[in-house]
Amino acid sequence: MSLYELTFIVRPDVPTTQVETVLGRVQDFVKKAKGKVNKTEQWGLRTLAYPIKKHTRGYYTYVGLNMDGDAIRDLERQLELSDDVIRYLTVAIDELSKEPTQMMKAKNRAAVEEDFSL
Amino acid sequence: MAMENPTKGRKRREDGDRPERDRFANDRYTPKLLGKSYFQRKKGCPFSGPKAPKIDYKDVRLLQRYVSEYGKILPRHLSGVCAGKQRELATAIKRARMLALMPFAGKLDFGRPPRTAATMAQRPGGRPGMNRSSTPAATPETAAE
Repeated sequence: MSLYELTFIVRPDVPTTQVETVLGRVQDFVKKAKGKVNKTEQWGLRTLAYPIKKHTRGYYTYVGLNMDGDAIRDLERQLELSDDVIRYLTVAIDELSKEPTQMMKAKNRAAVEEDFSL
Repeated sequence: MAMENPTKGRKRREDGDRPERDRFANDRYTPKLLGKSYFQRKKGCPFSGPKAPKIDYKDVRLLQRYVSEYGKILPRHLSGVCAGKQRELATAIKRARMLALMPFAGKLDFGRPPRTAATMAQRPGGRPGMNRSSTPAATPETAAE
């Protein structure tokens, strides 16, 4: 068992509830693999720095995990196959801080959400 | 004659005449100093020391300062980052690029102004007006939609 950080981007043209569904699926998977979800963060709809699969925005979700390395590989495959997830990144970490990540602290989400409501 | 010479030599060494002359020469020799003085690098590595920020791929605002106008990772001799931290920084920037938090190349992230003294000063905490200033590049896009 080791600690991982998983961030994935859900395509923006999907209903907001779909983001929760994807997150739910990840959590289920982790539970099945006898891992543990230590932390979840919704970074919300963000503008991408460059287009991914012709999308210019995406819903970012960040998850801190404690899980087996083999299970992580399976989880990555699931994300790869998922049509809703356009990008993901898993990083092995030494320790998981309990504080919110920098992204939550310095959120320029307010500006992005403003754009979206227009 | 034979008596004077040794005393003179001893006196010179005691006064420290020579080092003083050398310092002067270095100051006058500007071409060699120009490269260094241009960037005014006085501080050591910004990531070493007790109060150093943690290098993290999620901290885009921090990483942004170690990237050129065109999104390229700045060389160490410009940023002053030490070798080990530069390696950490490079992987962090590459991870941020993977997550589309930072651009690989070309345009600026959200049309943010390039690294200047002014932008560096804005960093701590971030004023409420800061988010607004990052919008202009995004607005034409949304207007089109």
